[in-house]
Amino acid sequence: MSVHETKVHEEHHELSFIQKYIFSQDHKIIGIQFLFSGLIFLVLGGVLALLVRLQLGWPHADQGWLGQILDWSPAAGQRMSPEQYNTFFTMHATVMIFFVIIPLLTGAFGNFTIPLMIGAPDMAFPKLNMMSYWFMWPGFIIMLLSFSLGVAPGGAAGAGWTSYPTLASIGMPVGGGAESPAAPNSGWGQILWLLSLIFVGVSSMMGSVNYITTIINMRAPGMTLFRMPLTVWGMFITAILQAFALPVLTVALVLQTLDKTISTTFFLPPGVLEFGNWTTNPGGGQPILWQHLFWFYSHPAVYIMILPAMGIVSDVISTFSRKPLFGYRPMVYAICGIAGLGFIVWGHHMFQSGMDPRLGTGFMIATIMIALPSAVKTFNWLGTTWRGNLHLTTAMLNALGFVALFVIGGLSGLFMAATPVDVFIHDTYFIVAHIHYVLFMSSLFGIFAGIYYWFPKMFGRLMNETAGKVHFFLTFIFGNMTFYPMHLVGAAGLRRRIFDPTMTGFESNVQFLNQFMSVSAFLLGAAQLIFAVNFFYSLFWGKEAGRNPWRSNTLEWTTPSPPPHGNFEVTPVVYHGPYEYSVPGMEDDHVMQTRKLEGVPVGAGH
Amino acid sequence: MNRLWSILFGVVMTLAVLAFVIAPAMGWWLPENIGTFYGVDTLFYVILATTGFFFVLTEAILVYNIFAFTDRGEKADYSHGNHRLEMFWTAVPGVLLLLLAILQIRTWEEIKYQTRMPTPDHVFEVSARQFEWRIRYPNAIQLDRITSAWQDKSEPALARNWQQFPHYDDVHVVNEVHTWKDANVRIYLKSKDVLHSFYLPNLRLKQDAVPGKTIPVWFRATRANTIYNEQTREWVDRYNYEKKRFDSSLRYDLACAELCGWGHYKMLGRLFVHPDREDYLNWLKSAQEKQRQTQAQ
Amino acid sequence: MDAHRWLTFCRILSVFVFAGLVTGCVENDYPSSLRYPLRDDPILVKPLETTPTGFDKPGELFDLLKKVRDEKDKNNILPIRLVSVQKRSVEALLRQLFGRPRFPQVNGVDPAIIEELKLDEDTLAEGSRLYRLHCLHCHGLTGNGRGPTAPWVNPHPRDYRPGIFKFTSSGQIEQQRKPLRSDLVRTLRQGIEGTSMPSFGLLPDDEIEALVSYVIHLSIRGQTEMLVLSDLMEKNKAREQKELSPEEQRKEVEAELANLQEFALQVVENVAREWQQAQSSLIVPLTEAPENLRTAGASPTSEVAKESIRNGFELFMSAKAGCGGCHQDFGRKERFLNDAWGTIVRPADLVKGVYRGGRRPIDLYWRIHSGVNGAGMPAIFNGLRPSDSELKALAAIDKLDGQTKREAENLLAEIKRLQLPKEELDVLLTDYDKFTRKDELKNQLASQRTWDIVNFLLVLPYPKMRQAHGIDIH
Repeated sequence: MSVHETKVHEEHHELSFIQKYIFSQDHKIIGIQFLFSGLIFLVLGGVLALLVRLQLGWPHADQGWLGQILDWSPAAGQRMSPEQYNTFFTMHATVMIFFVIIPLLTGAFGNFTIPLMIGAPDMAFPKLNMMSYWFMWPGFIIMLLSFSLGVAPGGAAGAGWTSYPTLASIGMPVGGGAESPAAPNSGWGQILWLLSLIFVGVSSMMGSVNYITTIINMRAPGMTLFRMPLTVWGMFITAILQAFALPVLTVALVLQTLDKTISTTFFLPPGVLEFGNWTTNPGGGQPILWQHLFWFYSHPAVYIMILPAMGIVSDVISTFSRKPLFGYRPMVYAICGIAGLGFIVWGHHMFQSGMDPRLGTGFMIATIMIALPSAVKTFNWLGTTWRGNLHLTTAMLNALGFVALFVIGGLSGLFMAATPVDVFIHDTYFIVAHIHYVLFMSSLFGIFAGIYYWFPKMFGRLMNETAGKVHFFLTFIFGNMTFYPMHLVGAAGLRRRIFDPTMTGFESNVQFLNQFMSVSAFLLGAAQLIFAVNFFYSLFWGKEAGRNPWRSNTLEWTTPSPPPHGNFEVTPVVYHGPYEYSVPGMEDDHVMQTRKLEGVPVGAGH
Repeated sequence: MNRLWSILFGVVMTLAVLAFVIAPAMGWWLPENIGTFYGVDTLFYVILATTGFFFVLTEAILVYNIFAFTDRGEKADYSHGNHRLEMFWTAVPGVLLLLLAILQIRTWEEIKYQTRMPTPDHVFEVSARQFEWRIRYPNAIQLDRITSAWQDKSEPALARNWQQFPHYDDVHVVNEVHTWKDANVRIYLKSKDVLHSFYLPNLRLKQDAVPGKTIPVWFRATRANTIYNEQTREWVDRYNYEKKRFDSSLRYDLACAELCGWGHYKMLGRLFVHPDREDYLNWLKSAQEKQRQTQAQ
Repeated sequence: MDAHRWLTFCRILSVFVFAGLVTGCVENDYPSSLRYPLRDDPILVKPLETTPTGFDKPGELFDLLKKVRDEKDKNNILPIRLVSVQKRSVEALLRQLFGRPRFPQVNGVDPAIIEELKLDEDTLAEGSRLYRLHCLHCHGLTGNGRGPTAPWVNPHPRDYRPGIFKFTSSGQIEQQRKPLRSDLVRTLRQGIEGTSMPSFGLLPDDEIEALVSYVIHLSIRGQTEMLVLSDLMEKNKAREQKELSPEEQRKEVEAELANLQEFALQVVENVAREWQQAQSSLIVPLTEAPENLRTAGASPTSEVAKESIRNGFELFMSAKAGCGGCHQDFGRKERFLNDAWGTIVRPADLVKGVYRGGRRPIDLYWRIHSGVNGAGMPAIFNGLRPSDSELKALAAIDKLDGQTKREAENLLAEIKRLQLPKEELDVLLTDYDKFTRKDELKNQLASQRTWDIVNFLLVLPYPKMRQAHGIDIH
């Protein structure tokens, strides 16, 4: 472990550009690298989503100029092919989950905030940290490469981000090549998809080990566990989740890769499967095994994608309510509760999968109970804003947006958790609505809140508040217009992942809503341009921020913006919890964690 | 000024509630339930009511907080929480959730537990493959033998045998599920290639078909929609027996709900509910005769 | 604040305006400017001679078809070698005859044929719209079976352009055999079991009819194109041998092209007539099928059925029908052949009980009667006709011995099953030369034998049935 000396390192100027900004070992630069790559992939994922929406709104329509750009040849009717559609939604989900939400939340904010918020000069393992970022890149590149695959329509993986066997896993018999008889895009595209995710998994693993070690070992003097800001708690628990769940996914990915390349049969059932003239070798495995392994990681992954956002939002809400966080300890316990229960609910993705229905009952009860800590968190956020003194900055608006919409996402989860209701709404747009309310409308609002909140600390400049508010306003409206109707079409039974939603009676009933959602989605996409412009404009020409523009309490605001190499001029000493706002009897409405208070009562966070 | 942001939150959340109010009238709602899994709908509404209550409660508090406490010109209250309140809002939802969980166990068992499935009146096999449903019906005699062998709830060897070894005289039909009103149907669900999901929205039924497994599925349809057309000498669905006319809303689709490849969207079928067993057997006979045609017409 | 509300209102309004605009210009049809591209892939004159060792792997269809090109001038024609003026005029000519994908037509054909085959413009336009929706991504724009999905399904989608369809019930001669409309309708309704051709049975009747019309349109167009291009290539080859100067060559080409239209019209007319004639050439079995095939519930273990199945089994194994030569080990042994489209097929595994052309006895009857077009399965009906000498030998059945005697006895038993009138039977068995209905009898016997094979095939997949009939396939 190489703990840097904690003073301003003028002598570090001799670091070359590459060492400083590319292969940097500085957690702040790595965080910012994660931020940029996450945002770039957000654009890709967004474009893919719009293509999906285009198809759903107007299936079989002649796409004219767009078709020419995307090489939808006249011979294919100048429209998307079903294979391409499958690729688009598969890659949309994969990119958004593995390349956007997880890297942004844990990679960008985790890296940037953890050492700063606990008063450490850097991560425990800076080199590992650098590797964690650079292990993402093979993943990025392989995933992008798969888009350019050969003659296959689509080329890139198209078996859904869940990649269920046997559709995804099946290859030709031994020596028969890597292409799949099941679908054009589960050949090489799928193999690249698997390889890419293995890299991403390794990267996340390195990150989580680093976070855990840093948080346990490198807290500043006085920074007890229960004086840590909730962002750090969120990251801590997330890292633990990742450390325990990721190996399972990695193993599953490796097994499927073996199935596809050297024709092992981990996920292939006994008996020959037939695809017209093509047949496979009889296997000795089970397709459902993959689902267990996959969801054993991917359900906790849902919490990996929300817990850090919850932490960020807690910090932002407390700061801008100028009020101590309501129920700090219950909040921490709730995070732990979510994480703990999160490990035993994976089966709720599999209620209809053909596993023993008795298991379903068990998973159902666990799943229903996981709503409890989420509810506690929501009530505590409401408690924090109650009789606060709210400052509606853009960051605060986004955090409030998170709370408002997380309620929807959380409550709609109850429908799916209920096994009998799930029989009907499983694999319909209801689940799509749910996942987008949790991951887009909640996590992404959390990310936006985090960006607006820490942008000044990252780059020393403030983002434009007016543009930020317009961006929030439009995103909030169009986001709801895009995702809310999904509940209704889901209740009507509209299946997810279908190329043409007008083929059946119950689905064509809601085609108007499909078009409405598509138009809203385009507008939602357009609204993000405001954010992009604001982001880059503020990067260069934003208002100088100063150390603590938000008059916040936590340690990162005690250093200059951006913080120097090594973070703190002197090792900070912490005297109390992070949320001491509006302490009675004090002139100022905030008390930095480093400020020792004499004779003033300081509440729970000690 | 800033407190007017509460309007945005208020308006959007009100519209969210309104959407659910107007949706049934617009036809964006649960399709007609013609099965016996009423519990699904009941639970849906119970959960909708519960979540609706908490939704309105939390959003109202949030909107009020934004309206009342934005830039209010005085210091915020200094409070780190309230132990009693925490206990209250942990215990109340906790009890509610537990009740909700217990409430649904029965319906789930009714739908999926093989031991709870009623003795069938009608048995057939559905084999899913990319991208169609191949359905195999036992002929009338076989059907009789299988169902009458089904004395108690356990599956007779005869049925298992029929399920494993296709019979010479089985009736093979593509994409058309035929049953009759109020018949307890037992399906042997199989898949020949990848995962599929047998999805009958009107029956609130969904079950994945897994290659290498035979999964029992049951349902009972309680509304007939199929009638014999004298002119074309075929059975057609969408017939409304109450109003004595055809009605497109009585089209009961069968769809694949689990991504199964490029043609997933068009892996569709139709459910034909005959008015009674006799009518079904007539259809079966005609299908069997069609299958045995030795002349072009 | 008012600004905000006003803004919200405007935004919501604009959403609907935008939605209207976008939906307004949506066309679920081919672009009207789109043309059928001219064929540029090799025309296969007869199946390749190489013996494939297995099916092509997923995605390898185009590599496979490249092999067709590599065979050079042996048994294929490469229209890509035509000079551009030839290509241009053929393309223009075909457009004039068949229109564009959005507005398909069939011109230059007797209106009576158009009516009979339902090739009027309205039906075709509807068919083309539906084809784009349901068929295009496998069967391709020109019906060449090379849509984007084609390499990823095996058997590969049918190429309509040679005008050959596998599962037909028409009694035309082999080279001209076209399907009946009802054959295509049946394929659309039932799908082709065991392949990726799904059932479209849930589409309304008129839509299926429109699709069939459009498929016929594509097939006529493709075949015309193929024949015209082949003709031009022949001429090019002949001209090359004459060693003319470029100027002379140009002139000759122009002269040829002047006659092209006439030739093309003749081709269209012929092809369309083949289609029309097919419609009235349905194969009707000459003898009634055994009762167990006709009647639901009739037992295949009755004595009559037993005899028929037994006979079918023997015929299947005999050199006469020659089934076992291709369907080795009842088709369980994999063998691979090249078909008329340049792709690879295998004789069906008859123990599986999957019948691509349909599982009705009549479907199997047709398959055996006239084979599977293009796939290398020959028509064996004529081969099943007994010869004069065999029939003649019946008179002296007592003097025969060994193998010949057994065969004669079998034949006698078969004739008895035909239930001829007593006096006719007597004539036949005593003095064959005086028997008047020789040809009819032979055909009847062949028909009955076909039914026997059908009967045998229908019980073959079921172990219990095999046991009951003493069929040992191990």
